[in-house]
Amino acid sequence: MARPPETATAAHLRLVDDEGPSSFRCVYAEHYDAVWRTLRALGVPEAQLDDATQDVFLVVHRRLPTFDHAAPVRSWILGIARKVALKVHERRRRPPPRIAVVEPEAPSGEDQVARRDAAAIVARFLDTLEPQQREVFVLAQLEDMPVPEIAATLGIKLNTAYSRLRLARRRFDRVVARHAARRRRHP
Amino acid sequence: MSRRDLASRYWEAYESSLAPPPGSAARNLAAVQRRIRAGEEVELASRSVATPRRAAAGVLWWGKAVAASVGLGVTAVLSVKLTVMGWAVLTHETPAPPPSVEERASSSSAPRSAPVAASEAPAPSSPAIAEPSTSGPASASSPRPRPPAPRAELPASTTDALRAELALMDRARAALERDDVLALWQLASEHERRFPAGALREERQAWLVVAACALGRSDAPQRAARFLREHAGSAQAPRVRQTCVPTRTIE
Repeated sequence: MARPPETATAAHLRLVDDEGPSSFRCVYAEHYDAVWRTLRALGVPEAQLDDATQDVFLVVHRRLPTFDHAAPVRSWILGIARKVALKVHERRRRPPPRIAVVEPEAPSGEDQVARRDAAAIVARFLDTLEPQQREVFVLAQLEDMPVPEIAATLGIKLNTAYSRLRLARRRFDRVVARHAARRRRHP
Repeated sequence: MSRRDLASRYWEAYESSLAPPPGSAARNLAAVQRRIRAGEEVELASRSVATPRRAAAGVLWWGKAVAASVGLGVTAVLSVKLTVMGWAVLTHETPAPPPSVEERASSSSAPRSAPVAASEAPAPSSPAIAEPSTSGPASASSPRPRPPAPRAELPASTTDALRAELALMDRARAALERDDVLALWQLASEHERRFPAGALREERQAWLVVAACALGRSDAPQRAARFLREHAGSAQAPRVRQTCVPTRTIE
């Protein structure tokens, strides 16, 4: 990541030990991608992803000085990301929209088309999940988060987290199998 | 390939489509710094907005539905509604007086603008024909003219809206027929957003229930129960009952 110039803006960031391993910048660099991916998989529309990502790190920045570093940073940050995503949906007052799956280049060849279709099916599937199931499923799938950590992140009981994940996975498997079968019937 | 392997492959394809655009990290860091400098604060809900539902615990559950095959009943009844609505839209563009409901039902030329041919409809569903002509936007085509709502006063936007509603529900019907419950859910949800009081709201509600059951949503039992309570006599009720098989589940 490019080092921003030393300005008055950067001076504000020194509030949180600019250079140390737990500095805001380090935390930002380490978790930026995960925050972006998670927000997106939680259904934040593409057009609002930059703002939502910034919101997450504004909160992180404000709370970092009082954060207990013995706790897992990732859970803490993704917990904030999840609240920001909820806020975005609340403001929109409607369920998350279909996520446009961005392809860097036009797909060519059967395999790429199949991958694009598969990605689109998953995006559509996520939109049909209830928010509580979606959160658990996304954290487990996207960040390989262990279920106890998910339960802690979301502030839910361990059994509830397991149950939601199991239900979501079962539905995911079913939707995928259904789609694959349809593809075989109508290639 | 096992179901899990298949699911992993799909997920992997999805995940590889999720990557921040190049340069966005640096751009957003600069923006965050600007916003910190401006003293901006972000308010978050202090407690989770998504309150966990207690519904699943030990409660009788309907859900767990298969919805594998598509019943003709639901689509056939809709065919008739679509036909009548399509006809209604058409008549707003022509000055000719509309025939009676019975004439329409027996006429072979009337439904030419409709997405689905009326001949697909089974005879028992014919009572449904009267429904759209007595309620909803299609009532404007009633053979008995009423002074407060003459057909000529229907604005063009109304027929446009009807046309859009028809087109959307026709896509939903096609999704139902090819057993694409994801698309069915999305199209019916879109109908709910765009046409909350649309002429085909009953079908939409039924299809949302069917899709919810097929997708195994935990709110499916409540949706099914509500639909059957509010539309006990609906032509869609048997399909909803068939799709949402009552089962017990323990969370």
